[in-house]
Amino acid sequence: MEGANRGAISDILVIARKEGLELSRDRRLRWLLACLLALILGALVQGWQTSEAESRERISAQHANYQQWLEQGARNPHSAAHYGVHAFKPVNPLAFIDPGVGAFVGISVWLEAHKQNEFQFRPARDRSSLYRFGELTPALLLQTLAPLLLILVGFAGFAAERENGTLRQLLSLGVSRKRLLAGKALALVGLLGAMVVPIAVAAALLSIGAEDALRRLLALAGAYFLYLGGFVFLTLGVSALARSARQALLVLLAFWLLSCFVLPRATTDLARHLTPAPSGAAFIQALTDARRATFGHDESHPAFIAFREKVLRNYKVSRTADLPVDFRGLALREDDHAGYRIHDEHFGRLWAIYNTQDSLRQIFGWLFPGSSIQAVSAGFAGTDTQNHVHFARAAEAHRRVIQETMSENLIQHRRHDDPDYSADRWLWARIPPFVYTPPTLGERLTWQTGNLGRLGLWLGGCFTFSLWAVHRLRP
Amino acid sequence: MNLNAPFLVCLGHELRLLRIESLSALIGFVLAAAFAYAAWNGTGWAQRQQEAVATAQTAHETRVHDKLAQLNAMEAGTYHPPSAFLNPANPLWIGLRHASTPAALPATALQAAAVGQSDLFPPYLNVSADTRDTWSLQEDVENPTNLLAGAFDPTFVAVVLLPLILIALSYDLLPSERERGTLALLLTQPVSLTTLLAAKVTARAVVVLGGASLFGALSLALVSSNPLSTDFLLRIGLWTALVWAYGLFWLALCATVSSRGGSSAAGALTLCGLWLLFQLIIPTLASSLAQAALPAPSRSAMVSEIRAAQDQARQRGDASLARYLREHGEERPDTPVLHGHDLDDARRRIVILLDSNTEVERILDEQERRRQAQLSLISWLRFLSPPVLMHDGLSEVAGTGEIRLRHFHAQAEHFGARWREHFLTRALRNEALSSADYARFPAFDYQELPTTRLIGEITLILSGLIMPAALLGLLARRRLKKPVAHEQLLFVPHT
Repeated sequence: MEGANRGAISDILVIARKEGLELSRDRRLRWLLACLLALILGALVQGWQTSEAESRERISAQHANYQQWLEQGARNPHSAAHYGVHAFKPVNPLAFIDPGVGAFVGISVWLEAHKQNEFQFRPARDRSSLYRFGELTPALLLQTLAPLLLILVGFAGFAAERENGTLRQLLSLGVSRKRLLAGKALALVGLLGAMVVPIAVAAALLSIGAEDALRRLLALAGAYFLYLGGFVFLTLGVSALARSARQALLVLLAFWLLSCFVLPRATTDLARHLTPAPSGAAFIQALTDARRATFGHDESHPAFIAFREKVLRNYKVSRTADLPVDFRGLALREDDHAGYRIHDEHFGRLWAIYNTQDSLRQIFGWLFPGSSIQAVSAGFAGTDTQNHVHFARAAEAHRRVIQETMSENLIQHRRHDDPDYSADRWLWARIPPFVYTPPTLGERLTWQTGNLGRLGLWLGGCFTFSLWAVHRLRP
Repeated sequence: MNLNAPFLVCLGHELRLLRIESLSALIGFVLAAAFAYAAWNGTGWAQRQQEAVATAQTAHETRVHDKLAQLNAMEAGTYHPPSAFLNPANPLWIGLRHASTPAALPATALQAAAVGQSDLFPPYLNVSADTRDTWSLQEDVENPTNLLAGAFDPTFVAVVLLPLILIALSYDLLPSERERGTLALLLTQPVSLTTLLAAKVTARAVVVLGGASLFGALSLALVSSNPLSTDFLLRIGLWTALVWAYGLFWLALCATVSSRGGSSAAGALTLCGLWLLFQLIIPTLASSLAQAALPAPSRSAMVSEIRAAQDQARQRGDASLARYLREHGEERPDTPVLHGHDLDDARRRIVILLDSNTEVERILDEQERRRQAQLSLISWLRFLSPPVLMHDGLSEVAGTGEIRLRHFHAQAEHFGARWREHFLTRALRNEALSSADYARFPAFDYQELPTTRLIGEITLILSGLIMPAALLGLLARRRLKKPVAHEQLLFVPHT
């Protein structure tokens, strides 16, 4: 039994070595690989520099903004809440591997009184239409170019052996088809390794020191292994099944085109038609309509009058001037709490629609894995929509801390609606600098369970398909 | 015209061959389906944008209508505004908030042809009397994943899929004849290799480009609101010219590769590689290069700068107000709206706003200047990649390109300055708004980009597509004239 195993392994290694030797003799392939590698490493370093520079800018802006908050001078606490602060989204340390939606979400949000704002300054607005053709990053190369390379190298795997007549000879020697498949797959995996390992090492070196970056890199590598592994077996399977090498190439190229270029766009539009999200104008209008129920600064608003009656009743006084606390402060807090509920509802609904659109896009990720790997890769790199929403929630929580602190100060310290009441740096310093805690790897893994499952299915499906195809292999 | 000319005879044969090949039917079906789906998506997007404009417009009208009703009630003595903010006669808050008005970019008749940059720049700006930064940088609400993926619009079909279809039909123009052994036979007839290749290219141009421009124009006409307008006819004309020029570039590339005499498989691989080079490698490299050479402006630094400018204006506030009162204090209009504390507050707010706006506009203009610096570098770099040129050309033709959007923004900014002037000077003079004034609010009147400017840009892009196509054609022709090429092309080399 052990001998048979050893025989199988040595068979596979012999086949893989022969394939590898053939590949290494191909001058064009050597050039292609060298160019690709140079491109990837160049992109990696350039992307890292850009994202480091961007990160420094945002950190320094965040710091400057907090200083401005501290040094705003003496003023009414509610006026300070209107002044507010800006929350800048930190650049994820792995964004240089996969920038995800980074260019298409705003970089900062203004945390001001009464309302939850949308993010501003999408970097893509400041770039040209060139940006629509993608960014030269390891993610683009691994998601788009690596499968193409596998196809170009592997499409002739079985088909050319048959056309050259060597397949008949091989099978007559009694080489098992499974071992033939394993050997050829091993050679392609080796080629993959020659491409992925340098990227992984360079990426790991560049992200040393960032919190859980190494563990996330490992998760990324695993996901790409599932994705590209599927392409190895798909290529060999199609090559075994096709009537000619040319037909195999045509089928594989068409598949690659569908998975990487056509379907991600076509399904995006379909998802938009199936679960339409409101336009900016409609969203703002709905929010404004809902906020009509709150009184803001309108003291003739029925809700304001009702609230005043309630407070007077509770404190058993007849005039707000007799209250032991500041009534305007109480009213602000009451209004804010109503606003929180409205904002949670509206933004929650909007983000839920985005989530549904994204899930719709990924439904066929097990068959056309392009959409799944895009989601997983950006998810682990911390640059997808879910990560953005996570940040948006954290920023909103910070806004609420500011509102509560400012209103509480008014309630406790201002008396008789004193128009000249003001607070100073002591109060501003009670608001800590905004610090964002990104989601843990565990959380990110749960967000991506579905997509990881689909990628697993994809690899399993391709593997089974290739086994079936070599079983039907006719010389 | 001599119908027996070798070129026409070859062309006739090629057209017949294309007609009976099953691939042609499939390609025709794919093109028609792709353009139909793309036009549907494009029109869906265009409608969504126009609905957004309509929503904003209705919201504006409702707000103004409500305020006007309050003003009438106030004049009749039945309404007493609870605060200066809610006072409908107060030009300050009417101009700053209640009457803020959407300056909208109207759709062109060919809007469905390209999403272009319109998903990043909303079709309207809610202009108010506030500092320019509060409204000129407005963005739309949209799922970022959708923005990243891009739309399946007619531009995508034309830029990305059309070249692939041309390559699928033309990667083996001469090699296939040679591999089948029919090329030598063909050349026994009085026809040169150049004529043969030209006929093959022309046949494909007629079938694919003719089909693409027909399906494209037809589906765009079906979804257009006004397909008989001169606007539509002009734009669809330019659109068709772009499709043909771009298609001819790819056909010339195929012809050049075919004239090299390699195998058809090698030709297919080379062309796929070139497709990838122009579609992916050059654009992404050019984008990185431009960002490294002339970085886009830093918006995070801008936020801090603007805030600092506003803080400084606030600190200077009392001095500015004193100066204003010294210079204008004697003005006593006969319709005062605010009194005492409220008036002081309003005037202080306005002088601070005007003071900080000067600095804000300087910061914004500097940011835009840096943005334009990168864009103008890219407008040269894009000549390295026909797909980028084509993408830009189709966006401009549809009215969703950078040039038209910039044109709109410049007008909206100008209008914003007018609006600010209109309301804030009245507010400073403490002049009440009457119901007649409500009918005289400044209105935004968009002046369309001059047609000559559009045609000029498209001509530039067309020449960027046709010139390389012509050069490639000449290259192929020269190669085919060399005797050594005949030998290479006619006989399959021994391997």
